[in-house]
Amino acid sequence: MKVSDRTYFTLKRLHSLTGVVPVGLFLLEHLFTNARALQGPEAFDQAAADLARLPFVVLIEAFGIWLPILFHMVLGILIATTAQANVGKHGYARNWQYLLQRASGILLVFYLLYHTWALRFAGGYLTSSSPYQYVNEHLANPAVMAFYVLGTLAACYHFGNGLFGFAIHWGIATGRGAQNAAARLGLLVFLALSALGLAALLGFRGLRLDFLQKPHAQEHGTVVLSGASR
Amino acid sequence: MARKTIALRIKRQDSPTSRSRWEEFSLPWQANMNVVSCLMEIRKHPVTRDGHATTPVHWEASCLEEVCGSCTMLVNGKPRQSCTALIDSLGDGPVTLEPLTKFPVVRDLQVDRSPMFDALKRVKAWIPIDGSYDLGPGPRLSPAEQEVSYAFSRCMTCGCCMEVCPQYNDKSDFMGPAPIAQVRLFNSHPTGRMNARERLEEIMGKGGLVDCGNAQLCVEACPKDIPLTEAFGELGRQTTLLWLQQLFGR
Repeated sequence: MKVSDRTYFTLKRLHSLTGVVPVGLFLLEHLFTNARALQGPEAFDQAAADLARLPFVVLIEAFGIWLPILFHMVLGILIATTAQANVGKHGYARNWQYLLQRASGILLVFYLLYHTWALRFAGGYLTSSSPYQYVNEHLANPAVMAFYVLGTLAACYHFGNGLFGFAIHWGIATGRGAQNAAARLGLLVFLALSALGLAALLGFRGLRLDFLQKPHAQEHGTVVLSGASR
Repeated sequence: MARKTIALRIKRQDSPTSRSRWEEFSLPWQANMNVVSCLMEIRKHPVTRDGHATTPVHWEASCLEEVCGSCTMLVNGKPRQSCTALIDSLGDGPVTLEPLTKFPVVRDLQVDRSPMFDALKRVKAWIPIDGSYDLGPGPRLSPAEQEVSYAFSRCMTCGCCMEVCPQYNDKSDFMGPAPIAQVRLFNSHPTGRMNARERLEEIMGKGGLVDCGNAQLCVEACPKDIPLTEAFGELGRQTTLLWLQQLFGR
């Protein structure tokens, strides 16, 4: 396919942009919603039901999530095929970051195909009486759990380190100091999101974390104050 | 105690199309030898370590003081200028010499670096000053601008950055780090700036700056410490602004 220089530039910039908005933004939302599992089945089921009841939810899914991910994925695969990795010869940190960005991207293609098939398109999840219970059983298989851990780490890395590339591509970080700061910020985002994502996965298998709750925590979307604690 | 001999392993290739082979040489050690002087010694007496007569090793060199870039080759696997590769700083093991891998081999250690020169033509890495009459002196540069420009003007198109760049290869159209950094140099010159837009448009297309993958090896490999990655950030900003201008200002 022959594209003009300006179209090529626009496609590459859109690839960079979609990685942050909306795909990166969706990753944040997704992991936070998953983290409701740490508060128990009722909390997660309620969160899932609330999302499903969003107005125009199918349009939001199609144009805010699937289409941008598909676009980012296709262009990303094309970009990855132009790389000639050489960390064996030149093992600098940035070169590893470069390789891992591509490797995590390719892994995510397979992971997302499996993940969306298993928990969206295969049907069982959407019609289940308790989404929490459905995910709980889905993750009971150690091989599936291992794939989810890997997929979560890959997604968090790809987003975190992607911010570093984003900052340079768009000319936000131009100096060496700013670029180093962007790389550190990317690493921090990777670590923080990974902790959140992995905790949420364990939440589906029974881990409960509520020590950072405010005393007026709401349950079931209706105002039920736990008056006894006051 | 000074060593007695220097062992060299050299990758030989008779012509652009012939197959490569390794040859080993052993030379008497002399004080202050560099890779170039070793190759000159071999030329005087082209006999391999096991006594077979061979052809003199072919290589390219010009300035012998690391400003022309022509003697660049892989010394123990790292791209660098052979004139400043001092033997005593390379350790006691055999010294391995190979031609750069990202450019077509002409013969032995000489490669054809014209893809890099073609890229310089693509980005118009020059300042047009010719007119049909005397144009007078150009505008002056502030010392601060001179400082920045000087760093980029040190580029000798040696090809080290191209050699290490994982995005510069047969599968990709990427023009490589060196020519793009020259856009930064010529676009900051008061007269060169008049063609800034043409240069930016050239690196916005396929093979241009947009194909950089931020592995940032170029800046590690550059023997002249050129802040290549800073140029890419700066040009990223300039191309972004030009793109927005074209998108919303048409």
